[in-house]
Amino acid sequence: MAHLRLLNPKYEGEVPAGRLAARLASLDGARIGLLDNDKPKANRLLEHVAGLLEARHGVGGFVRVRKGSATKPAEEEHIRRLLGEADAVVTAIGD
Amino acid sequence: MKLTSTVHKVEDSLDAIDFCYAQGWSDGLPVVPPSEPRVLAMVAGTRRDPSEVVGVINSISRPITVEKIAVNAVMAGCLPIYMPVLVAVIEAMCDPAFNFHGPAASTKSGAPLVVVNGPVIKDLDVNGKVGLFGPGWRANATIGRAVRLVMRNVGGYIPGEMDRGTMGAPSRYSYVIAENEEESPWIPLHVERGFQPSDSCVTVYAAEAPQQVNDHHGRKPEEILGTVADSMARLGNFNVLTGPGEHMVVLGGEHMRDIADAGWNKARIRGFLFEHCRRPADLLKRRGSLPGPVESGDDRKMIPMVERASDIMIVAAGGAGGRFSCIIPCWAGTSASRAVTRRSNS
Repeated sequence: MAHLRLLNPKYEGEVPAGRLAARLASLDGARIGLLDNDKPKANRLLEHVAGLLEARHGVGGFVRVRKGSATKPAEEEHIRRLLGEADAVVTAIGD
Repeated sequence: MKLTSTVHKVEDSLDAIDFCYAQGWSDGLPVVPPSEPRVLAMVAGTRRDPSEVVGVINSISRPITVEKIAVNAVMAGCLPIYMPVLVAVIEAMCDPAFNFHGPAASTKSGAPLVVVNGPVIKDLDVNGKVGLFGPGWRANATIGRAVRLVMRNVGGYIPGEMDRGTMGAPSRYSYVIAENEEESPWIPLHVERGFQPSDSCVTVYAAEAPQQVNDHHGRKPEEILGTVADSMARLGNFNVLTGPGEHMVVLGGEHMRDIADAGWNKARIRGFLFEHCRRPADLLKRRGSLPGPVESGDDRKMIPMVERASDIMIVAAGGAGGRFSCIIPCWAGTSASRAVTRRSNS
């Protein structure tokens, strides 16, 4: 009996794999990036987290960045700034 | 012609339909099995090479090739002559201004609405008249279905996985219309957007499902469009909460004729709608659509639901009888997505 040969409709190329950054040994004195995704109230959540980080872990300061659109990736300039100025980054969405 | 997709062998056509279900390739309806000869015929519907990358999905950096579009087009039931339109749609969706990933993954359950203009409407028999949102027309139904299958199978936008649409929408099965250029007294959408009347074009717009506007009473443009404008400013519309975005208005046959007979063109219609699709600032602030506390005078400060009149797209389409039109709010504000028009010529 003849077979049908079906072609796979799915993407079959490589999927770029991300990786987690190494954990900081300590938050003491670390500069923390706060990446706001531009949704309403994301800033409130981030500021609450910032307050906790300051009070409990003695972080050394914050780098605040806000994306242009919640639905798009963070802009290159923002990523470069976070890479250059922050030891770790916290991001938050709101609504 | 060399194809590179993985081949799966099955016994016969009925087995093949079940096989496609089992692989998770279907939108829930039976698909046409994407056999090699059918895919080759589909690829031959375009002048492009099967390996050509038509566009890349933003955020996930996922290329979409002609071959993968063709496999999904076969499954959707497309004819090979639909391929140039389908390729143009995918190209438009991969334009950064459209933002492929956003409406595909968002909780809002938006869908890419395709408006077809130009000679290709007749060539492919794309419906822009009675019952244009479906069902019943092969080109409308299968081109839109192919778009959804590409999103699912190539992009990975599967409900509950990367597609996080809270409610889903019937428009996510298929969402393709034509403008009724034959009977419209106005300049077609693609010409307003910079193309020639002789160009065949698709305009892709990330949108809510269509909402009907029923106005059997009004005869004057101000009356009919007053009802349309009121619908555009409904508090639950996506555009009201997410900030100014685009808006599409599809004017049905009777409304179209009455408005045109009064001497109004699309620009005047847009201007009127812009002035009237408004809500008072105090209401919007209380409902969280505008930031800040309510201030004195906010009840008289009328806020437009689009940033400018040109963000309103007017399409003349629908049946000749019955006093209905449609409004189609945007999926999100213009910083997140804009409608994109592409020529269908490959």
